[in-house]
Amino acid sequence: MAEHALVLHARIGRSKPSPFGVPIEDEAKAPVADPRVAWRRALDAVRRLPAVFALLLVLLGAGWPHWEWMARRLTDGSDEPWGFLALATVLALVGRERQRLVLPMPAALATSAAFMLAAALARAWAPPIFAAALAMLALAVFLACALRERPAMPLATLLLLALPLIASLQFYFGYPLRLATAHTAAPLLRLAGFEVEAAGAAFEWNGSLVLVDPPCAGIGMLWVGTYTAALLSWLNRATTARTLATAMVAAASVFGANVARNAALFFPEAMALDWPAWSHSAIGLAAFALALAPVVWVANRLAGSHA
Amino acid sequence: MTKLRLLAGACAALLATVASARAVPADDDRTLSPYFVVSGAEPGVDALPLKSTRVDASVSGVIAEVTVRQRYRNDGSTPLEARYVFPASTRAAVAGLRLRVGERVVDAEIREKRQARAEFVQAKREGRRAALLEQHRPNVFQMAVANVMPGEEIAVELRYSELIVPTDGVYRFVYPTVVGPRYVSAPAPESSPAGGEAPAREPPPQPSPASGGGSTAKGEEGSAATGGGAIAAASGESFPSAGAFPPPLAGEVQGGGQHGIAHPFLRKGRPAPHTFELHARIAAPLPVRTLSSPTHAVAVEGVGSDNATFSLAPDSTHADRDVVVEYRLAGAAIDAGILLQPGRDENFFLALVQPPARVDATDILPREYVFIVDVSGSMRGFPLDTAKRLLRSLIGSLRPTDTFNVIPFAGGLSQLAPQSVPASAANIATALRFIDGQTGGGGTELLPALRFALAMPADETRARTFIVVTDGYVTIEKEAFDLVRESLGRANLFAFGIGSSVNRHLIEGLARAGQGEPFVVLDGAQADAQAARLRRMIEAPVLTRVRVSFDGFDAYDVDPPHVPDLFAHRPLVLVGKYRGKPSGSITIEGFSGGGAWRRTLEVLSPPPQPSPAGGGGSEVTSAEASAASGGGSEATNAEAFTASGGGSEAASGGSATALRALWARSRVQTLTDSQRLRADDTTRAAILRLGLAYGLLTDYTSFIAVDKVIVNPGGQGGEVDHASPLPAGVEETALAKVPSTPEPEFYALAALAAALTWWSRRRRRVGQVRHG
Repeated sequence: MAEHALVLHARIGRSKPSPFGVPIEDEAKAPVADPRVAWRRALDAVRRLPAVFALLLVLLGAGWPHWEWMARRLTDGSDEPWGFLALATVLALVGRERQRLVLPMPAALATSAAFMLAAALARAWAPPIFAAALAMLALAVFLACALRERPAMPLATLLLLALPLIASLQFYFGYPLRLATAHTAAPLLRLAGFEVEAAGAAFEWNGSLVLVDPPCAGIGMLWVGTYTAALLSWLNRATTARTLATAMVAAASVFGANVARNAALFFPEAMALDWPAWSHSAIGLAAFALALAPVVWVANRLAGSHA
Repeated sequence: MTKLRLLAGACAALLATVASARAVPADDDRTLSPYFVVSGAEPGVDALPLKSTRVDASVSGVIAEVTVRQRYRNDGSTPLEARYVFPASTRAAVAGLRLRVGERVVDAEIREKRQARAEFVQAKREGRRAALLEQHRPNVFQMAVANVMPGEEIAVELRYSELIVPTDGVYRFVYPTVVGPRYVSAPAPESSPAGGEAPAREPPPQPSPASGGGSTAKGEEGSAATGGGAIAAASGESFPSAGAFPPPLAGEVQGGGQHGIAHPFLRKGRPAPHTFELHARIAAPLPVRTLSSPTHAVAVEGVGSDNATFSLAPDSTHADRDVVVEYRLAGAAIDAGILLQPGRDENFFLALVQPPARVDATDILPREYVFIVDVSGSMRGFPLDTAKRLLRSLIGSLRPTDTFNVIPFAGGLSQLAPQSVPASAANIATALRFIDGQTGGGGTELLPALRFALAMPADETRARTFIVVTDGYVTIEKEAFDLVRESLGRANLFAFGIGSSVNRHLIEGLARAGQGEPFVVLDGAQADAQAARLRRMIEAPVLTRVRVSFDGFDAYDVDPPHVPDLFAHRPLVLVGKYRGKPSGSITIEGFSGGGAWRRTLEVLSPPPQPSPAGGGGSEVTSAEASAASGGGSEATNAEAFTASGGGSEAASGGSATALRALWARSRVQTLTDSQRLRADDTTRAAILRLGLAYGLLTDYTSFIAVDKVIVNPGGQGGEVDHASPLPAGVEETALAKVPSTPEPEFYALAALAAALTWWSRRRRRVGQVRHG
């Protein structure tokens, strides 16, 4: 046991830096023909890993069924693959800070392990996405506690965004969002002089319908808005409360922008104006840019408060 | 040491969680999470197996016999079941199917529809090549070819015949090439008069793919919203109209709201994935005076002779619109008379009677016109522009004593005025502005619009005329016919089909049910002429209150049982059976613009001739027409089309055999028209009997051809629904059904967010540097 501890701690700071910030001895890179020697060297390499990386690997290994499920959902077309962007962002952010990674406190490790255990148990009775969310939280707790000087909430948010969320968001929140959008935009259109009524998740005008259908719900804008809020909060080292405040501003402004976007696009759709296809995207992007402006402003105003 | 212990403990605990997590079957999660329809091309599966369609037509007199040869080849590496939905003429009597694989030829047999499906599925499972031809609607068929092996080519030939009756002296040969995207109203219709019969398909249908480039929602809602955003499919070259495959045509999503038929279409502007060619020969009793096509650049030969040809070379751009070929014969007389086909068990006859000349009426009743105009998504663009032009022409020429109203409809409907208004200059100007303000968008809720219009209070002092203007891309034809029959009262209904691939079944059926006439306007240039034609018809019907009597000629099962008023100038057509020796006469009486009118055709026994093949008996024809006019009507001698030139050719061989099928087809039409009103199984059984007895494709009978050779033991392989091009002039909004406002693509949103984040960080850094 003592020998292992020696390996884990005594080697730090020797020889070349590794991708993990851990030195690697030159002889370990020499090619070997004997499999037994190769196996021994591989074990040595594992032994030389800092404890925090070793535990991280264990954690990742424990969550393997969840990661496998996520990867399948994100790639088989049943959900949008946007989670990969959030995951890549987390990897980049944590990778930048890898030198600061330390072994989390035992309480944090226990919490992380508890989340992972709960995730494993949840697979037996809860939807896989719920179990995967628990596994992500286990990872978030571990990484947040391993990076003590960095805020936890943005990291957790980004990791949760890595889940295959879009289909579920559409299913559970899509219709309420569409309903709210139609009923908020219809009065705006009436102010503009058009006798538009909200009929469910649609506009009714002059005997014809313009649908606020699933692609119009604003789920994509909401996802990217939340992602931006989390990223800016991380970069600005915002506290949990301030991260939540930024995220709420993002949600509210994205909803408002989606209402404005639907109202604006009502005109070409209802009146069958032959606007070029790109103009629809341009209106959408302009509305989204207006939605992100307050997010950026709030994130910057609430920056720098994390200990 | 403590940390090491902690590490070991953590390892043990977490490995245990891995083991426990592993115990949960991965597949279970498929049904637990929200799951949206997945798109994706199947590797190794040839998605477009129909390579070519060749049509050979032979028009003899008034009977066209057509052979359609579809060539399927599997260029993939997986055995295929290819399905292809294609249109046919509304009058086509399909009486044969043949499967060709190399030198092998398998003739199809007629079966009850369910039995045919069962045999097809069985053959597919056993790994035999098989072809199944089903009728989904009277003018929409589906061909399914099972076990097309990789690299193999299979040809399927179907044969049909139809009557080509001249209208205003113009013979019109129409070959539809593409089924337009149909709008399905909320209550899923029956697939056939018998109710929805599932199509030939083994496994439960996989919902059609509906994916987009990033922001497309998938699944139940997503499919309903296909048109809302991205509509690209797996290969990026085709996309489905929303819903799952079959029934009735190829299937609708069940359960409310906006949904459509999942017949896959290519994106607008893409030519058909298969070539189309047509070769036709006209054997006429008189020289062909003119021969041309308003839709295609056909190569024409033999004009001026009684044996002309026209053809279209193989090309993939032909198949996005109906092929229409028009010709006139020299002289004003119509090829009228009686065609007889004696058979072993039954004898058939076809009588064509020259109508009186149109006489302008001197006393024209004031009329009320109600225009019911489709302004749905499929009408957007050229069809709606054409409809507007047509309406401008129709409304602009109303007499001041007439009244009118306009009811545009799509998903909902509106009206020009609560009641019909006088056709004053001011009202006409208001109406034209109202029409110009209509834009294409939304579904095609034809039934509520018809119901609304037919229920409008009528002015008893006026003769009422309904005019429906639509492309007919709906699936509620039968319901619409019933509604019109039940609610029309003393009014007439005229139906205008607008577009390059009109649903002629709806247009002709509405007109038939409405005691009116069908019109098809292919492009804006025809609008004014068709409007003038309608005016002429309404103001001076050719023949009304028509009665038919047989004297000394033992005719029975004659179709139509009641001859409707004749608005257009075309021959009256009677088809039926007779007993005994052909003799006696057929008399047609009615009223034309000039008063009472009467004509008698003498039936003469055919001279004995050598027995040709088919029909089981000697097939010779003879007819002589004599005309007797009353009340000042035109006394033109109708020519016996069997007695003049090419006419004798029309009566021999295949044409004579065709009469049997044409009678059966006409009978099926009459039974189908009456079926809904009677709502019993008797008619269904009668149609089934007709189909089986006369070898005819109907709603209840299908053609099945099964090869004996087993080529794919187990019958495993892919299933492909061959995509059609969008009909020319039809916008993609026809599939979108209802316009919507999709958000931008994800990558654009993400790029915008990244740019803003970068700009924010940079600005912040610059600010920090400035402030030291």
